[in-house]
Amino acid sequence: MTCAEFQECLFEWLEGRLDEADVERMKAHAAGCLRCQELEELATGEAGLPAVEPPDDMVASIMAQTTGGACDRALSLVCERLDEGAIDTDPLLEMHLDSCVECGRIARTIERLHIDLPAMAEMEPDADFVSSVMAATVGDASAVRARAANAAHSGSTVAVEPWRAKTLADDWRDLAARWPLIARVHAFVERLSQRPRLAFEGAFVGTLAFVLVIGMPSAGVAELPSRLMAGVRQERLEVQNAVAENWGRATEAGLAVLSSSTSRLGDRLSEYVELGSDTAEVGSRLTEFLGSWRQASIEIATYFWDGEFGAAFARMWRLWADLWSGEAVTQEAP
Amino acid sequence: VELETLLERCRAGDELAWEALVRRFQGRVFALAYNYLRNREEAQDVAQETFIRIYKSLGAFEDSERFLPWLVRIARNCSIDRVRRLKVRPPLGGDEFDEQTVGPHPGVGPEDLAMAGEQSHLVYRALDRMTEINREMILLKEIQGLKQREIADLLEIPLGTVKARSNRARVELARCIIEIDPSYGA
Repeated sequence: MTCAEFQECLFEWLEGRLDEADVERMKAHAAGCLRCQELEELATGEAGLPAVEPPDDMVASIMAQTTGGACDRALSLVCERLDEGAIDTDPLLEMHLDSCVECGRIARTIERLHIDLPAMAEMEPDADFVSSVMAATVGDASAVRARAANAAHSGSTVAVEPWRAKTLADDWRDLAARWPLIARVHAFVERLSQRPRLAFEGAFVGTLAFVLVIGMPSAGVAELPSRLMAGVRQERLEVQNAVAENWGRATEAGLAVLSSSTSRLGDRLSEYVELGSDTAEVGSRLTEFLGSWRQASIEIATYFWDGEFGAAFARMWRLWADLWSGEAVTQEAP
Repeated sequence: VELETLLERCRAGDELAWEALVRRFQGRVFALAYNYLRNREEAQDVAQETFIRIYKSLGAFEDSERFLPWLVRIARNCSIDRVRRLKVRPPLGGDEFDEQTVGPHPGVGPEDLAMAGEQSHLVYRALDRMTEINREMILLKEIQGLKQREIADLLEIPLGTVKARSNRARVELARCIIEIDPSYGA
């Protein structure tokens, strides 16, 4: 038997799968070959190798590379166990909590919090809290007690009015009691709005009115579209002329006001720097300055409105009024 | 007195029943408002506003089983309204209101700390370090004891989200507490 054959058959021999003749051949080879003899001792554990403990972080590193750690699962089981009030413990969970220091500590903390937190559900408010709530709802608490005492003394049950919180409907009833006409109008509108075909009826009446007003040749508004077109052309020219005439002057005036306001702002800012931390004084100066800006805005607006723009708008307004009354139909735009 | 009886007498206009109801729930409403506002005066004001709203709508409310979630909802809405208003207009000369969130307010006043127990103090400090969403989950579920279904209805989120969020919130709170005081869960 060669060494290679011995090694090949070694585990079959140890597991008792070799016949007697082969076992004898194996024994004979091992007796004459020191290397194969050592191999046999190693395989049978007779060599007396020291016991080897796996490294501490081996489980963690295997978990990290496979399922990603069981701590989350363990802690959620701890929470579920508390929620369900279960007494039975999962041996696997206990094994994890025993071996994982962090989870064990968190689990104990969660369990203690589960007992401690409900005690924080109530806090004592000030002594007069109930009286203030009673005063804000049913009235004075002492009056309530006095009424109850009187009722008890006279042998009757506590005199009570049916409970009723004031609602929007109550407010409406009060209003209707004071103004009967409003109530009648409201009732009419409500009845009308509850008709099932109100929308169809409204649409029908509206369409009919529109066709009658626009479609009839003798109607006063039949010429309105042509008048409107003439008016729009006229108006556009008016506005263009007004803008062309006044644009330059308006820009000059605006710039003048802006530059004077800005220089005033510069003066004020330098004053504030000098005033330093006197906040009250800075506040009053700031208010004064804002007032001056407001004044400037009013000046600009007044200029534009009282100047040519105002007049142009007034002319447009008159034009529209004329158009409506039919006088401008003859004024064709150039 | 059973809550159902109390509510029935309130609806019948019995002022004594209403007073008893206010007494029974004042601590809870006040604590809830305080958790959002972290200021006693504001919290008391909001608690009063909450009771006034409850008083106005009590006539339409019938299911006593759902009274607590309903009360928490009103108190929460009032508190969030107030936090928003204070964000826009901080109180004159009051405690520092530097809200960054609409949720429970981070930052505990020293006067209030003295009033809260040592343990509550620790929990409040830990809550301040948490995210807004998780803080509110702890407040509603762990402190106020609402059921997951009730929280889902209140916050208008799916039940599964409430479960997952609630577990995450507890783990976050535990981590924050351990960070501040490692001996708490030892």
